[in-house]
Formats: sequence, structure tokens, C-alpha cells
Amino acid sequence: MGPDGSLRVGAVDDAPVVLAGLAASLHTAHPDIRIVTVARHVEELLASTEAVDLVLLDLELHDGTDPADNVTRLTDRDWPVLIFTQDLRGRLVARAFRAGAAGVLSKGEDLDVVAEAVRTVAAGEPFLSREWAAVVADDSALSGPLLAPREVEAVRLYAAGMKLASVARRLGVTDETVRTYLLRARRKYESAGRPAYTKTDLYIRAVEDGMLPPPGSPPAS
Amino acid sequence: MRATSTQTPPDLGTGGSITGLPTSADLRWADPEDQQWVDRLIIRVTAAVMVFTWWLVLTSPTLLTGHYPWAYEATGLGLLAAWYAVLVTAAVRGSGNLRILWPLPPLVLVLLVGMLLVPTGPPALQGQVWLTHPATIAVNIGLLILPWRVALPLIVSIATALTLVHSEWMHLPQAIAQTAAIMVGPYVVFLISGHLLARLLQLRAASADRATAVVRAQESRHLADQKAYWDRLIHDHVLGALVLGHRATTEESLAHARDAAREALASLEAPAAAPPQDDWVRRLDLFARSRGLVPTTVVVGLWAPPEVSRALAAAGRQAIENVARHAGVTAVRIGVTQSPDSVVLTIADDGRGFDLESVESTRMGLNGSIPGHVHAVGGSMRVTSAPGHGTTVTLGWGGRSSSAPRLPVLASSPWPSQQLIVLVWAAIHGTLGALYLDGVVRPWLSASGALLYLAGLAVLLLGSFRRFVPAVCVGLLASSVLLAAGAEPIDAADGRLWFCGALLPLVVVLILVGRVVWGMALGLGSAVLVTGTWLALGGPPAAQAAAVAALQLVAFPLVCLLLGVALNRTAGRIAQAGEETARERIAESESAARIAEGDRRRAALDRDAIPLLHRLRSATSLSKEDREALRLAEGSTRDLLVAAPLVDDRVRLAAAEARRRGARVSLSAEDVDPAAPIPGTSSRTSSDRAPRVSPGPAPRGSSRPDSGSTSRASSGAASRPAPGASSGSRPGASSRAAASNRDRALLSLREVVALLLPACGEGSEIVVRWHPGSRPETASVVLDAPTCRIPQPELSRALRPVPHELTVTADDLFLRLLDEPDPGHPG
Repeated sequence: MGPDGSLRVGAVDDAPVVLAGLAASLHTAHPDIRIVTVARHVEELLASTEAVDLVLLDLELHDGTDPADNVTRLTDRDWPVLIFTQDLRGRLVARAFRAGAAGVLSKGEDLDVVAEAVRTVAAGEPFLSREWAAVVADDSALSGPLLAPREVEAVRLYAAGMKLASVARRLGVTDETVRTYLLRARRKYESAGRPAYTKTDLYIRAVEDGMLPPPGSPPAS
Repeated sequence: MRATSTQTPPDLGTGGSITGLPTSADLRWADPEDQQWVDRLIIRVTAAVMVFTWWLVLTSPTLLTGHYPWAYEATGLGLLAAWYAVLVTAAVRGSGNLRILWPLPPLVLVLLVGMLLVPTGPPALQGQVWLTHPATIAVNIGLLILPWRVALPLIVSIATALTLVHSEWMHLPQAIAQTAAIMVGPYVVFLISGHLLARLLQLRAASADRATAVVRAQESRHLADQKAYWDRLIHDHVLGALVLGHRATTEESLAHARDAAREALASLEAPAAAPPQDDWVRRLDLFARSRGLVPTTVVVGLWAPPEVSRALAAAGRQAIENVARHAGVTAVRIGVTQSPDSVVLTIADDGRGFDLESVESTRMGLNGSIPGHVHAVGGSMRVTSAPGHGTTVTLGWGGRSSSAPRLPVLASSPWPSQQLIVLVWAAIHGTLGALYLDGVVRPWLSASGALLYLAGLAVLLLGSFRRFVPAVCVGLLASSVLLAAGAEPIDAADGRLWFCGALLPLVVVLILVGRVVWGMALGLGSAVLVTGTWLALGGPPAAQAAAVAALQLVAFPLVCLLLGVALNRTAGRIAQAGEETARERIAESESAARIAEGDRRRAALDRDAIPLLHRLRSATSLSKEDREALRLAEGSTRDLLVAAPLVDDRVRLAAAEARRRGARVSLSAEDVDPAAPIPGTSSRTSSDRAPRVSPGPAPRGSSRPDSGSTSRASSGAASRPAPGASSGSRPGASSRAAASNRDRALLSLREVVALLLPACGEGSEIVVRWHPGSRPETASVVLDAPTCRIPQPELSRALRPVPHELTVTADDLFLRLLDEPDPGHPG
């Protein structure tokens, strides 16, 4: 938190003009949220001395860096990462989640929703969204053995785009129960699946990129 | 370039009896129009020169020592003329096919029979023996180009006639051995050359295949590149500007929106930059940019071995990091020259540089991680730098440049028959030597020479060929001197000097596998030493001795050298031609993809986004209607970005209408394969490249306490493979069937969405997700709070071809399109 109790947001995007516009309108509508640092690259944000409470990260930076790697570098600094993108399709989002992103958010979302997401994530709570649910629903290796059938069903209906109330009606439970299902699924996913995924994913990616020698090759001195 | 396959069904009826050696099919090289005429000329001239030299090698000793009646000379010259007439015809007619030489074996047979029929008596025949040597060539040509059923009787007849001619003045066993030596020896050498020629053809085929593969990969990458380029443009600039525009309620936010619109239009007008071709180089380039540098990247060549490019890229990143941290400038030059044999990466800057001896250099990874990566793949690193004069890091791999011909590809494969050839040759000459023991006057010299020769052979056969080459060559040189000194010097001009011939195959093998210097040294050195030995022992006149030795030990190796050079140059030219063709085709596909994708995207944006951006760029105020228009344009532009396969014109219009009425519309479609065509937009048949869908369990039944009506349908027609695809065991067929099922599902989904969108009004929301290949269902549709009646009959009609699960309640609609089991794996 900043001295005045406002949320300090760092933002990484390679279209800073758009980001500046967002910062202005977000601050007008929600004065407790301030975008304090705008950077083109993760490196630039990490180098900045400004303290932030969370980071809005564009998913693909087109600077040759890997989205999942970017997320990890930021979460390594204990900064919660909220992915902020126009394109919420599966694979990249899934990678970002596995790397530890706290949520994803469309750039076209209403400012109120953006503000709510920022507050939720800054408070250390996961921001539940369809995109997150879709990632879990897709991950049959994870959702099958790990989640209870009711949780799976809740996640899948939520992933398809249903509102909490509709999911609750279909499952014959209250809204609050659905919310509990989702949060429980989210925590299980985070504690069980994510770290292993991250490491393997990153290792494979690093080998592919030539950043690490492939297994079995002589160690570099 | 058309691939020439040398692996096409081998004609089992033709030559090449030793496994692994070329068959005559290998030597029938290529269609004439398929091969560059230079290559053809080189090979043909080389073949002609080889044959001529072989002739000279065999006949000259006799010609130099004997005096013959004019009739014999005339016969010989006539034969030579006929021989060259055939060769010239072959070259002039340019069929590119050795088969033109087929008249030679019968011609030689006629000559031999003629010699036997003319009663001249043994001494005269012996003088005329050089006329029999064309038999060698005839036999070899017969073996190489004629079908067995023709070649075998011919060869047997020639061998019989030759043995009879020989037996006129020697014992029958001697005559048989002589015939065998004359006929088999050269065959072995020809086989070596033939083997290399065959490898050359394989190389060309492989080069063409590789070029095709690279071009294919590049083509699909270009499509993906262009898609990604436009996606990025729309994502980063167009959508951003439209969002800012419809949110621009204050003067300040409008200013931001104007800036964003200006930037978006500028990037739309900029031509799509052509990225550097190679992935690893492009990543280096991007990496440099991400470190705030401005790289100038130049790439020469298309391919680098992946493990090498990985290592060099890792080292290169470290070097770029150094430039970013220490050089104090932003300009950096990245240069790459790559080929399958050598890769050189240069990272250069004009920054502040440093003293190579200073502590600074140890901090920059120059002693540790950079050479570590490079040395791991056997490469090398060079750093030049001086304070104030910039730094250049050169990382290299491979490319032992040498002016001597090398046959890296041709000679690198394991070749056990090489040893077999040496063994056969040694056995023949051992037998010949034993038969001519009466020519040995100093047995102990000959015996030690023979022992040394055998020892050299043993090392070659048992030990590592490459490691012992120098030692073996020196040993063999000594053996040739001992053998020469042990025999009657006067026999220098005679075929009894079997030991001269004994060295020849070794010389040839050495030269053809690329040990040119050692091969030539062995041939030349042995020629000089043998001549010297004969002269010292009072043998034939100096000129004659030198001529014999030179012809036997130097001329033929020289021709082999010529052949090696020719093969090497041809191989190089083939690789180069393949690369040039590939480069051209890649450039073509790049620009084709750029134009096609650019046209497609521009056409889509031209309808609303671009005109709106122009207005936004110069707007001083925005009305509520303007902002509404921007919001709608953002929605439909986003649809095109994230749901392209789903959004045809009908869906696009219906979605815009629904948004105008105040509904929330969210469409998304996963790209299964970025390069795959979207059904209904292209005539290209659906690809085999689409990943196969896992059969997946049937969706779990969910409890629906208050569902109004539930229908569950499975389409019989769709779940069974089409008759044409009934051979479902072939993976191609089943994935094709899966892909066509998927296309059908997508067409149904479009229809459904177009039907449901009109039911969306103020306060309702529709979410459509198309995600084939990931979950048990390929798509889901949720319609919350419809504001008008849902047209049920039309909906069921649209869904008929696809298995699905549909629940409609008073408040919402939920539809899942179920994935169809892969027809290749029923159940």
C-alpha cells in the first residue's frame, strides 16, 4: 500500500500509449488505484525502484521473452501478477496460470471489473474468472484425480460462461456453495498442480530455447 | 528442384553383387533435364579420363619395351579408335547414361576370339598382350551397366578367352590368376568410385528432400508469423485505441485516445516487417531489443544443426547481455553465417571496449559461460577488444576450411566394404606374387617387403583407419622398396611387378576418402623409390623405369584425385543449388503469406475499425453515439481476433446487432493449428496436421433439478466414418475424419450462434467458446436471460449433424457440442 492507502500498480505492456490512457481513466473512476510504473519490459519494471502492490502484465510482450517466464520473474519478487490482455484464449493463459499468475483480465473489461480484480488480487485472493476455470477444466490430468466431481462440474459450467447463480441453480445449491467449490478447486490447483507444472514447463522451454543444455549433455563450465 | 530418388526399386537383375556397393541402377544417374549440365560434364569427363588412364597404365609398360609388327599396332590403334568413338558418342549424345557404353564388352570379346583364331604362335601373342587389356574395362563396364543375364555370359566368355590367350605362353594356373587379377582389380577401384557416385546421388536427393521440408516448415511458419503480426497489431494498437475511445469521457482521456488512434493507424500503414528467417537468430534479435539495444542482424545461409544453434544462441545471449551492460552504446551488430557444416556468430559493438587482460573480462562470462556453451558442441570463441575501440565476439563451429578436396558427406558414412576391397586386392596380388616367385632374386628382401606390406594391411583392416594413416603409409613405402629390390630389375616393365599394383588400391582408397595428401605421398614416394631402386640395381634404362613407375603409381591416383575434386565440387554445387531454390521459395511464400493475410485483415478492419480510428485521431469531442460506435467496433474487431474461425459475416452482423441492443456477447475460438485453413474460407482441403482428438470420456451427467427440457442427440451419420474414410486404421485417414467431424461441428456452431444472437437484448449475455481437441466437448454456448423466444425447431435442425447436449430453461440455455470418438479407435 502507498502512504495514502492507495493500491500501487505496476504495468508492463508494449503499447504504453494505451496503458497511459487506461491509467488516467482508471484513476479518475477509482482514485484508490494508481498505476505508478509503466514499463515496456519485465526487466524494466524489475529495475525500477518504485514499490508496487501488484503487476498488470500483458501476456505477450513480443520482445522474445516467454510469457510464463515473465510471470515467474515477477512472482519471484512476491508481486502478484494479474494478466491483462485482449486475447484470453487457452494455451497462453494456461501457461501463465501454471507459472503462478493470480488472474487474467480482459483489457476491454469494464473499469469497475478491472478495479475489483485489482483489489481482489492485491488482497491476496485469487480472482475467479471464466478463463481460469477453463484452464482447470481443460487440465484433465489435474481436475480428474484432484477435484471432487461436484467441483469439476462447477468449474466446467463456470468455464462455459455461466454466472454463479445459474451454476448454483443447475447444481441445486446456493451461490455461496458454488463459490466455495470454485475457491476450493482453485486452491487445490494452486497447491498441488502448479509448482510441478511450472518447473517442468520452464525447464522444457528453457531447453528448447537453448538457455539450458539438454539432459545428458556435458555441463557447461 | 525435383528430388531424384536413388532408392527407387533396385533392379535386382543387374550388377553389384557385393552388399552395400552400388548397383548399376545407382549409376544410371538421373534424368538429363533434371541435372545441371556442368555436373553431367564433370562426371562424364572424369569417367572418360579414368578409363583412358587405366588403359595407359596397363598397356604402356609393354608398349615401352616391345617392338611389334605393324599389324598389331594397327589393330591396337583401331581398337583404341573404336573405344573413343563410343566414349565421344556417349558425351555428344548427352544421354547422361553410362548404358551407352554397352558395345564395348562384345567388341573386346570379338578381339580376343580373333587373337585366338589367328595362328601366330606363343611368342608373338605374348608381345601382343597389351591388346588384351581392354578386357579389363570391358568386364567392368559389363558388370556396371548390363543386366546380369547379358553381362554374365559375356564376362565368362571374355574370361575364358583371356585365359586361353594367356595360357599360350604360361601354365594354366598362372593364366587363371593373371586373368583374375586383370579383371577383378580394376573392378574394385571402379566400385569405389561408383559407391561415391551413388552417395552423391543420395546427397542430392537428401538435399532436395531437406529443401522441401524446410520450405514446408517455413511456409506454415510464414502463415503463423503473419497471423501473429496482425494479431499483435490489432491486440496492442487497434483494440487499445478503440477501448480508450469509447471510454473517453474527459478531455484528458480523449487526448490519450487520440494518441493511441494515431499510433494504431501508423502501425497499420507500416509495411509488415519481414522477420529474419531463422528462429534462433530471430530470438537473438528480439533478445537484444528486449535489452534496449538496436541490433542490425544479417543472416547468411539457411540451416544450422540444432544443437549447435542452441549452444551458440545461449552464448550469444550472454554476449548481448554484456553489450547491454558494459558497452555503453545501443547499436549492436549480429552476424550469422550458417550451413550444416559450419556456423559463425558474431556479436560486435563500437562501445567502450575493455582490456582483455583486465579483471573486467572475467566478469563478463568470457572465461566461463560463453566458452562453456561453445566448447560443449566443439566450437571455438574469439574475442577482440581494446579500450575505446569496441568489442567483437566471434563464436564459431565446424568449417575446417581447406583447399584440399574433402568429401565430408560422401566419406563419412561407415563403409565396411572398404576393408573388403583392400582384402580382396591383397589376396589377388598375394596369389600373383606367389605364381611369379621365379622372378625373385633376393628372397629375403622380397619376404621382408611382403611382411611389411601385410602388417600395413592388418593395421588398416583391424585398427582405426584414420589414426594410423601416417604410420601405415611410411610402412607401405618401405615395403614397396624392399619388394622392388628383391625382384629382377629387368622385370620392371613386366606384369610380374605385382607389388607395384599392390599399393594402388590403398592409394586410391586414401584419396577417395579424403586423405589426399597421404594418398598422393604414398603414390609419388613409392614411384620415386621404386625407380631409384631399379636404377641402383642396374635395371632398365632410367626413362623407361621412371615412366613405368610414374604411370603405375601416380597417374591413376591423380585421376582419382580429379574424381574426388569433381565429386566434391558437384556435391557443393548440389547443396548450394538446393539452398538457393529453397531460399527463393521461402521468399515467395513469405511475400504470398504477407499479401494474403494483409488483404484479409485489412478488408475486415476497413469496414468499421479503420474509419473510426481516423475520426478518433482528429476528434475534439466525442458524442455518446460516437463512443457507442467505438464500443461496437471494438467488440467486432475483438471477435475477429479471438474467434476468427467462428465469425463469418452473418455471425459478425448478428453479434453487432446484439451488442447494439445492449447484450453482452463473448465469442472465443481456440486455434488448433494456426496455419490450418478455416473451413468455408478456403478451398484447400483440411489438413492432416490438426492434432488428433483424444477420444475422451462421455461427459459426466449433471444433475439438473429444474431443467425444463433436455435433449440429447447423437448423430449417426457423423459418428460413423464416411465410406471414403472407412480404412480407419490409417492414422492419416482417421485424423482426416476427425478434422472433417470438427469442420462439421464448427459449421453447426456458427449456425446456432447466428440463431441465438437475435435472442440477446438488454441485460442478457451470451458466451460461446469453441475449443476443439481439449475437452470432451468441442464447444459450449451459454445464453443467459434471453430476451425473446429461442427458435427451437431451427436450433435442432442446425444441431442435427453433431452429437450434442442441450438444456433450455426459462432463464437460460446451455449447449455442449460433444467431441466425436476418433473413428480410428472405436469405443
